[in-house]
Amino acid sequence: MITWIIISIFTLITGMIIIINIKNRNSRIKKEQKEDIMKFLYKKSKENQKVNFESLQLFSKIKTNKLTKILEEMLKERKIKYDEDNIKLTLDGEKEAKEIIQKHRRIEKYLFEETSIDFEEIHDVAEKQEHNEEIKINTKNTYECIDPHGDIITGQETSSYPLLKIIKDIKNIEQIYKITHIEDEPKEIYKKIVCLDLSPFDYIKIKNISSNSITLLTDKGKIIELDYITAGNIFVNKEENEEITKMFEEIEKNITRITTLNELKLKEKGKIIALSFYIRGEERRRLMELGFIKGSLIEPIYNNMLGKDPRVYKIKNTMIALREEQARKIYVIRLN
Amino acid sequence: MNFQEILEKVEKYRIQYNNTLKDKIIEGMHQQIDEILQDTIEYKQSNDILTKIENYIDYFITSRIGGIFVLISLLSLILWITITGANYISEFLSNIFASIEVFLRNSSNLLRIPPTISSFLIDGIYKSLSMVVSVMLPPMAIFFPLFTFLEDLGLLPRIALNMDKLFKMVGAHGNQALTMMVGFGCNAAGVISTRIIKSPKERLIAIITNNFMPCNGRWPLLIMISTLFLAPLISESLNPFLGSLIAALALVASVIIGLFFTLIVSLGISKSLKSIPSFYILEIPPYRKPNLLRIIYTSIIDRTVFVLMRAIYMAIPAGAFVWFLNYFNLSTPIINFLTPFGKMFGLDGVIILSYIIALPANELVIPSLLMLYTNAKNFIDIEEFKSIYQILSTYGNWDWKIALSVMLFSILHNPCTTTILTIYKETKSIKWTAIATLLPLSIAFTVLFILNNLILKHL
Amino acid sequence: MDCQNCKIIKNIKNFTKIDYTIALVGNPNVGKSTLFNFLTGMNVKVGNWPGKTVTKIEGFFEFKVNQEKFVFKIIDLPGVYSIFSFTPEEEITRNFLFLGSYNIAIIILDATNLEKSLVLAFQVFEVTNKVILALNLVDEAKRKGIIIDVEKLQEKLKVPIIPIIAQTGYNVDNLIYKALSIIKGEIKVNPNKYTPPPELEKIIQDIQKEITEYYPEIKNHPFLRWIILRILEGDKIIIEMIKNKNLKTVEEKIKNKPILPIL
Repeated sequence: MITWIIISIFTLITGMIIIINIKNRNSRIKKEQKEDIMKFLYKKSKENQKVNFESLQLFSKIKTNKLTKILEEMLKERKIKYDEDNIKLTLDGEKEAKEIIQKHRRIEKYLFEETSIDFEEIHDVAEKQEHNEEIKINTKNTYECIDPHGDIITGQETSSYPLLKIIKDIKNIEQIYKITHIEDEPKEIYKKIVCLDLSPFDYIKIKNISSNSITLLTDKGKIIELDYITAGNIFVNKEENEEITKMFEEIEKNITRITTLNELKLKEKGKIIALSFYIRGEERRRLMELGFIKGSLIEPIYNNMLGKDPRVYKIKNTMIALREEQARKIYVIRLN
Repeated sequence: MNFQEILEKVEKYRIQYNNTLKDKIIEGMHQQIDEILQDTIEYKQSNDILTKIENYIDYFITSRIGGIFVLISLLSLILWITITGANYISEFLSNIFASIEVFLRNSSNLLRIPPTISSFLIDGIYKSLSMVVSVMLPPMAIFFPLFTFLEDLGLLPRIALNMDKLFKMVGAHGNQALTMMVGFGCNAAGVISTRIIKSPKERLIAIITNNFMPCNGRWPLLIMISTLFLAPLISESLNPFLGSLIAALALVASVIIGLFFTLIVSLGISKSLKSIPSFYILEIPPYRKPNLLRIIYTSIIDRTVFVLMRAIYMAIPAGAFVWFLNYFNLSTPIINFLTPFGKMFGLDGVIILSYIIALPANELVIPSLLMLYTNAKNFIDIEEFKSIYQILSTYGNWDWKIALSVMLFSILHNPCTTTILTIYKETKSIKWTAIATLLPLSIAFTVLFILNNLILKHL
Repeated sequence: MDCQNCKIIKNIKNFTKIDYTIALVGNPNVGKSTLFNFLTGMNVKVGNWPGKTVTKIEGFFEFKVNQEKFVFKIIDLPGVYSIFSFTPEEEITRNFLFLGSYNIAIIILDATNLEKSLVLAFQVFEVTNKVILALNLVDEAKRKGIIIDVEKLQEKLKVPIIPIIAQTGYNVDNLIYKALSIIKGEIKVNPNKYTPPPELEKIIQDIQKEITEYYPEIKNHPFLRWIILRILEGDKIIIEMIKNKNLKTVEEKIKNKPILPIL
């Protein structure tokens, strides 16, 4: 009897909490949908493409009657206008869309610099958090303007072209390029690029172009074979600096000895040549303070009880344990 | 030029240097230091034996067999020293408290204080206070210095290194192993020690799961029940050697059960929360000669006294509460009210009520169990295991099934109020404090429900 | 310059006023707490830094020179590798060294690992001139075959260095004696500052020009160059302070930081 009373009170309270949550959730989802629509319209207008109801629905995957309702509301708020069948942003709407995109980039920047969120997840988290009103990132005071994809948060876009373009011209072999931007959608390809440790500001040298792939050498001594789809997501600029050319000559000379830290055997000495772009924020700072900088000598000295991960390295007279995925992002040259 | 333009200029430089401006600053610093050190420091080949021994020890600890050996032998050694040593001090303290009690009774008689008030002060407040101090202080006063000794020696980072893979698999931080070891002494201290984990999510995991390590407030119960009810299952006669062996094994088993649930809950939390994982850079310090003064200072001031004071604050109201309950004969209706609920999980009303009374400190469970079964007016001392066995089996109808349920409940149930308070102080969030309290409790009830209704019923 | 009639009195209880304040700075595991405990004995105050879950430890001791007596307050700052304020510990240390009130900062160097200690020391030199270096673990370094030319190092860093062994308390009285003479101004300390690579120096000069134009009062700030370096690194707190032309608003700025704790 008493048990039943307790259970029924409990259910009642839970039910009420759920109802309140659902109500809040609905209004939040609506706002997110509106903002996504504005972003979509802004992107399409930059690409000079027209958007009508059908293409919008295809993008947003909202049911017809719901979408009509949302669009009506947006029309009332004067954020969009109809141009015959096409839907366009008003000036107000465009301004807001720009702000959302800037906020997105700035959140990405923040996540990249100050947290250790998985790199592949940064875009998704930013996509969600850009709608969060509690996060107020002042759009006027920019401290740092480059986002993790190499984009400039405010101001003009840089002129660069996809790696794919140069494939057509066979003369480009042995030419050096600098990566300026990496597209973060679709996610699978982006993940692949991150996994290959290609990043903005990297220099690459084209080694070979075949009918379905392109081989290149990075400035960290890695030889990478890219398929055409992946290459289409990497944007580059020609680089004609003598220093860089010399650097590549040096790398090519030592190519067999260059490896990543996790590949070193126990008691095998190495010299650090670079840290990956994807070691960032506090982690990068801490590693550099501990002496993980270009030119430092390093030696793996102990494994652990359960295996090779994490491993203890000796650097500058200190013993530091690193996990394998970190060691993979540190490039070393073997010393004989 | 306004400020915005200056920042834009900085930004241009940053792009010009391929975003490596920050790296350049610290690289420059290292270069300068290298230059300074070049002709001021000299490294000689040293044939120092100590250094060689240290290297061999490190090699041994990080090897598979050596690592496991060191881990298990250290754990059992610390447990053994703590259990054995605590008994003596505990006895010594309760003797002192008993003589003070006699003195208090005499003086209250002399001063003609009304018996109700003197009973409230002495039987209610003073007894619960002395009980908590004499039971809680000795294990802490032994365990924490031992632990700090290992910490000072530089051994703990090596153990954390060895355990990291397990925690990495469930998305937690390797240092959680260290906080669990502290939690083994006291969960509240364990929660404070999670400060060594920097990222909020991993720290939260460590805070919430710390409770699954049985703190030494729970050891007496686990040892007692396993000796009284589980040991006879193996052997009828209770010779002392076998008894202590069973006690040790029961504690180790509890640690393993606790570790198992720690890993599962860690996995659950890390999967359900998307947050900021931290990086793993663990410095392995060189071995150092432990400093006795520092050991005593850190373990006594920083940990023992800190935790004990909070426990004392909690024990006073609890003592008063039990006294009222018994004085006005309120315990029977409450027990009757709770019994059907307890029966669902293989427990009974008395056990549930004792755990409610023991919210302030887990040490209060045994005395309140005995007191409620015998309906005594105050906490009684644990005299002899035999009589406790009689009390529990005759008044409470305990068998090994109930004993097993109580043990599991003891390992998995909610943290004590001291720990809850600490969790709130550390997280500053009511939500996470509530989760840290209710999650273990609901896990405990779920496990017991499944165990009793699906398994034990058919045995 | 050994001090013959010096004496450290720990565990002091009754004192009316604190003469000087010492801040202890150092990496983790260099014997910072050992030195702290050696100086203060058991008379310590343990609390939290305001608004942070970082333990704050303070202690007191008395120092006797000839007939004079001085009461010192000693603050054990959290062990850090740098003061670039990523973690709460670093932020506390940085803010205290930059804006806190103390008479001298003792930086503890690890003789067995001088490089790592000096990275922190150089950063501290950037924010304060009130420093003295204590070279700890000299016995262990000797054992490991590391020979340090203290005189030469002292010359190069332009900061007094006192070799000590915190474990046994060897030479600690000399350290305090030296610190006392720096506090009294008998010894002037002007640490050798960080000299960035030439290409970086150019950028620093340029930005420094712009900043002094924007905020002229900062021109004579002793640590202007450090502020410029921080701006180059994108330190939001310093940038905010310069933007508001106010170097005191340290506490407020933390709120401007977007915080995404648990998503």
